[in-house]
Amino acid sequence: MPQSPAFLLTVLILNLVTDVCIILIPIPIILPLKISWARKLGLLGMFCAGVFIMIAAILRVYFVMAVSTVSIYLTTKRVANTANSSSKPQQQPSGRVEKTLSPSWSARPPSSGPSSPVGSGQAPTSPQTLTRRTNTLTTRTSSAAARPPSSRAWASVQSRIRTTSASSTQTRPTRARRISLQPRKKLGLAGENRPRELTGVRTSRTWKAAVSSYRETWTFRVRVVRANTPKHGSLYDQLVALVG
Amino acid sequence: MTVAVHEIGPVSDTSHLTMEQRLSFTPEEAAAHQRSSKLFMVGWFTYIGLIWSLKLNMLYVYRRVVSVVWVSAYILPTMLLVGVTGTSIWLMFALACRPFHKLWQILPDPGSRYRPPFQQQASG
Repeated sequence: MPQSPAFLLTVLILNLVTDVCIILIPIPIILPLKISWARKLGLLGMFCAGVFIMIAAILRVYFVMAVSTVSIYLTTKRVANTANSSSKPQQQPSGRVEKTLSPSWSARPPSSGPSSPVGSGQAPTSPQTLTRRTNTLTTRTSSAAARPPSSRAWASVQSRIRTTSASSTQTRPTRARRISLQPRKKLGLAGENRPRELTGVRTSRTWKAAVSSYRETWTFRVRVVRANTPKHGSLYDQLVALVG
Repeated sequence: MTVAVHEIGPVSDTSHLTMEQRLSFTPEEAAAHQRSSKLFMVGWFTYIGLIWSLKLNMLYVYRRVVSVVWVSAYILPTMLLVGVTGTSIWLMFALACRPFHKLWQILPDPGSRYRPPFQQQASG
C-alpha cells in the first residue's frame, strides 16, 4: 500500500532532520550582525520560515494517519450495525447443517514436488492437500496475484452448499437460508490476515472472490443455517454462538 | 505529480481499503484503484526528488554566500546528509515491498505489517 505508515514516517523524519540542518546554517551568521534587533528578528524570521514547512509536514502525516484510522473504524462499525439489524426476530433458525470443507480443490493433477515440510500433523491432510500445499509453497510468491481465481474451487464450494441445503430443506420450504463461510487456518500456513467470515442469505460473486483469493492459506468451513421456526435466539445470536 | 493528483483524486488508491471494499470491487474499479496506487508511487518518487533537490539548491546557495569559516565547514556534511537521505528514501520506496507489484495488490490483502494497529484488530 503506497500510503503505509512506514513510508510516511520515514519520509517525515528524514525531512525534519535535513530541514533542521538547513535552517541552522544561517542563524550563527545573522546573530552577530551589528544591526537593529528588529531587523535581526526579521531576518531570523525569514530564514526560519522552514519551521512552517516542518509543522506542515507533521500535520500532514498526522492527518493522513488519523483519517485513515477513523474511516476504518466507521466502516467496521457500519458493518457490525447492518449485521445486527438484519437479524429479524421472526426468521429464526431451527437447525443447522455443518460441513467442513477440507481443501479438496486440488482438481489439477498433483504435480511432483518436494515432500511437504509442514504436513505431518492433524486431521484434514489428505495426500491431495499435501501436494496442494507443496504447490502452494513453491509457487506462492510468484503467482499469488497473477493467477486467475480458480472457478473450480468455487464450484466445489457451491455444490457442497447446494447438496447440504437440499438435503435439509426437503421437509419444509425455507424463507431465508443463511450460509456462512468461516475461515479456518490451514495447517502450518497461517495467512497473515484472517479473512472475514462471510455470512449471507445466498452466495455471491464477492464470496467467490474471497474464497479463491484466500484458498492458499485458509480453508473455509461452510455452515448452512435454515431460518424456519422460532425456537432459539435470533439468527444473529445463533450465528455468533456457532462461531464462538 | 500534479497529473498524478488529478488522476488519483476521484478514485482513491488501495491503501486504506477495508476487506468489504476489496471484495466488492468490480474488475474495472479494481483496475482504477490499482492505477491510482501506481500513480501514487510515481508521485512519491517525484515528490522526494523535488523536495530534496530544493534542499540541495538551498545548500548550494548557502555555500556560495556563507563566509564564516566554521559554518561553511558545516555545509558540506549537510549536503552529504541530504544526498544520502534522499537516495535512501528512494531505495526504501523501491525495496520496502517486494515483489514491488504487491504495493497495489487488492486481493489478497497484501499484508498488515505496515498498517496501524487498529486496523489489524478490525480485520482480525
